Amino acid sequence: MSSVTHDEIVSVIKKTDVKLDWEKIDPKESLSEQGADSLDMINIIFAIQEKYGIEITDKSISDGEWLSIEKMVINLNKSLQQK
Amino acid sequence: MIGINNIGCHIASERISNIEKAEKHGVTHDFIMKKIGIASVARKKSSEKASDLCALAYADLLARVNESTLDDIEFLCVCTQNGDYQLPQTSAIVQSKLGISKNCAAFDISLGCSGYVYSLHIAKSFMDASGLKKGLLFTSDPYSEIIDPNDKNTDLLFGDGATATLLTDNPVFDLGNGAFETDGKMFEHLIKRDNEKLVMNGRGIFNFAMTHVPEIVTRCLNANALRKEEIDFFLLHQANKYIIDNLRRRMKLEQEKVPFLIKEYGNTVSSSIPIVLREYLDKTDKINILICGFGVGLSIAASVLRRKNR
Repeated sequence: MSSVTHDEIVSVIKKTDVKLDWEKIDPKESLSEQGADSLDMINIIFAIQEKYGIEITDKSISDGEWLSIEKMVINLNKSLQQK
Repeated sequence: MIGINNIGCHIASERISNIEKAEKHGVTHDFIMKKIGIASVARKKSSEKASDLCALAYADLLARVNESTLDDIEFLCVCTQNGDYQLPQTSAIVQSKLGISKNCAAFDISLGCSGYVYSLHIAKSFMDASGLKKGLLFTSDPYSEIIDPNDKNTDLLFGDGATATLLTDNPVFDLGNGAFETDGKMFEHLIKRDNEKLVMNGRGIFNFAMTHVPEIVTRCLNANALRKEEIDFFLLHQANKYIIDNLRRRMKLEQEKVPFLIKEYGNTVSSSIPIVLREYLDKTDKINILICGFGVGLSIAASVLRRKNR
């Protein structure tokens, strides 16, 4: 299976109603630091789970594995490889 | 056939401002108003119990009907998970407080936010099976008794209220076929353990609602041979604005068909649907109303109310 890219993750997030200033988003930085509140993060993670059919645990979220676009790409691909 | 004749409501009169609590909970005013959508939550007096709120909802119902309309009540149930006592059933206390005849079946139903839809189906089935003509269905779940005021997940959401639905064989709304679902594996997402306060996993509830509400709504429409376009409005459990907005978006429903009306008093658990429904009782252009409750359990229930030609 080919890896999920940065652009694909961004496309999934854009389909939610989470409003972010995409021109300024730094993929390495936490989305929470760039305008996403706690409900937005729940929404984004739900969208990723649903799109890719994976289970994202509360622990992996509290461990910071889904904070930034970059981390989302890395951990999503890891999860997909383990499927 | 038994259906909904009228609804009385009581929303506790004291209001606690969420805006004033924004700093304490580390959230912005925008987050409270635009995301949660609840500016203040209603709080009962500390001395009031679930049965007292039921009595106040009954008083409101009494003001809406002729006094004799509430004579000869043969059925009474209270949907609550925060009753006056662990036992007896709160419905017996309500029966006594309201001076209702002893010739009356009375029991409690232990459900949360899906409780009104479930209770309507239980009450209708019980009354139809027993040949009862007039009953009262109460919802009263004062969450202020179990909330930790330092927990932002719950402190900004829940308000105290109660409702009294008059069920008769001469109803305004008939009850259609229901659709129900339970995911007991998720019970810990909304739980109050012994000697602890309420704990809610907001993410778990959001995921559950986004996944299951659209499915149940579709099942309910199919069970009633109705198309989405034939529903005049979708009255979803008033959890918070964010969940309602996302469900509406997900189900591709028009905004005006999905009310969110709890800004001033908060999420009243099993009372949230009947409080809003009361606003539509007299609006005769609203023919088909789909109601859907979801929450504690995790549990979900949907049904269709059809306005009768009277």
